[in-house]
Amino acid sequence: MSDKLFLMKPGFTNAGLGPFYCGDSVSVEGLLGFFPALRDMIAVTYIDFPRPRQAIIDLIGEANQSVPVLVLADDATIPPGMDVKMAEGRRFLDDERHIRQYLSARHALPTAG
Amino acid sequence: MSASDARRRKERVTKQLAWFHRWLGIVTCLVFALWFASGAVLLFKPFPSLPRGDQLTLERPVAVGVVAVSPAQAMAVAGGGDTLRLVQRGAVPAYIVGTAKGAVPVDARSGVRLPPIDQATAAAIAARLGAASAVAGPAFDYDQWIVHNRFDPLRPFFRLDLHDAAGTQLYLSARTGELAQRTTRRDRGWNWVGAVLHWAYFTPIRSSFTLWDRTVWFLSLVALLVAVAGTILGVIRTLAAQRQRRPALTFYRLRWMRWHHLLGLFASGFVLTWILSGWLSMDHGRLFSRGHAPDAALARYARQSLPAAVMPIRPETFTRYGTARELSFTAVGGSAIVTAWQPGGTVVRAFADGAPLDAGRVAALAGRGIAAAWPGAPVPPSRAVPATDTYALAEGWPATALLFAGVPGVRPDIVVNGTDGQILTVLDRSRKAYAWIYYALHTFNFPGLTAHPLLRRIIVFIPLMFGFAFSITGVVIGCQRLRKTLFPQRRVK
Repeated sequence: MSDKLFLMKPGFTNAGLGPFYCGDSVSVEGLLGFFPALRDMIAVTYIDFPRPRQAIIDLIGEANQSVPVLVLADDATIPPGMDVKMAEGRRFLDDERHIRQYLSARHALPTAG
Repeated sequence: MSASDARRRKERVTKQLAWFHRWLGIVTCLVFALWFASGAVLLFKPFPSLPRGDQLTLERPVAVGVVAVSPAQAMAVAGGGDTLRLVQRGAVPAYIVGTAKGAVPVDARSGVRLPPIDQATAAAIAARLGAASAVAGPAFDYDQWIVHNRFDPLRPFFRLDLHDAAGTQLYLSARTGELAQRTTRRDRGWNWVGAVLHWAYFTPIRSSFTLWDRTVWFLSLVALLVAVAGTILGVIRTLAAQRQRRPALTFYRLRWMRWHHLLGLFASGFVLTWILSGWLSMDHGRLFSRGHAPDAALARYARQSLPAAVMPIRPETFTRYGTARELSFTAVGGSAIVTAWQPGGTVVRAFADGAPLDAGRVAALAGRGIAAAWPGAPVPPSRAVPATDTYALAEGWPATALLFAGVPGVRPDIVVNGTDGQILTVLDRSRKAYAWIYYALHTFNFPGLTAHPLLRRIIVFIPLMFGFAFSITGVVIGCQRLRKTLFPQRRVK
């Protein structure tokens, strides 16, 4: 299994407010914009705002539906200092800063300055 | 309906609720702020009044020695009536007959109907009240301090300026010659930012009861709906914020919206309480009983008409009342009661034939009247109502109020004025509920607090200030939204 990245589909409404985009997803989206080849190396899914977000639940359970989230490949090597979480037997990152750091390290991309 | 359809519908309803809360909130936010601020003033400074005891002290004694007309003759001259009093109207003792068309003054010496008091007579009355006192001008129907409809039977009025250090002004009824209202400079100043604002007692509106009643009732209802919508939205959005990756009470980042949401979560309980009870204060019989006895029950309570009851009363007997400031005549349980009101509010009572009538006999007559008006079960003995009783405060009963406990299915509790036997309130279940839902909720006059006015004021004042701060956040975001809508080219930060 390759790394699976879940980002929020923009233009959602929440409690009668919006449309919004996800402020945390947008920095990961920026990384994808800078380095489009990254999209071919990982599986990117844009998920709808309303819960339950089934595609995520199927992988890491109902308690971990927040986005952005990167569900790591089984053979992923994690750089030190990252807050890796575990659910349903899978490791994942749900901090957008750590997601960018991990992708930069894994795919030899520049890092945030 | 699929889950996504249900979600879309929920979003649509929430958006409609937000639209309603935003735009009607813009209309009412300043009103909310003024209600909270003026409520805080009103808590410490009530609307001016001339207490009954003070009024009686200020009035001249009735010249009972020259009264030649009997109460029955006076009522006949007026064409009948529901109430009858004898007062000193300037230099003339006069009967005041209360009729459906207003108070009719009848000269107690000659039996002729009297025209309104002229300015010279008013000036003479003013001179008696103080060396510097003077009539402010010709008689008039309304000003800010006599705008309540309870003054209607007494209009027009002269204003008497005492020119004392307190800036005291008294209102003299040109119709009855009685003093009806008193204000001081301090009262007037505070009440402009207190009761007048809080109750929308602006003369052009309040002078028409119907206009005032409908305007304030409708405004309060809209404000209530705005508050309900805001509370629902506040909860929905807090629940949404709780579902965020980093759960919070609010997801608003703009400062004033954030404060409005956070303060609203805290304040919504008492905002809803006050706006609901405030709206109900304008009920005036729409949803709850008014506490009035039906005309038929009143007639049975008296057991004879007032003109018939006062028939045996001879004016020569009035001399025994000496310095009385007013004689009132009532019919209770088949007897006429003559009540002579003394300075300070104490009374001397008698039957129609002049025989003394003590408080116990008044209560007995009232019990007889109640048995006739609401037959079907014996009437238990009355009991005095404590001045700190929530119902007493809600209804404004005098300290002499007597409560006759009701019998389920036969009659409600009946409260009678122990002084003259008149029914004060038919305290049915609806009226009791009203006292709790409107009065107690609005003023916090709950048992335990009624006897501790300072504590009650502190307990009311603190949430009032939170409510005011919350309303101000509404005013600010309302202005921001209006500016954004009306001047879209200017960014609102």
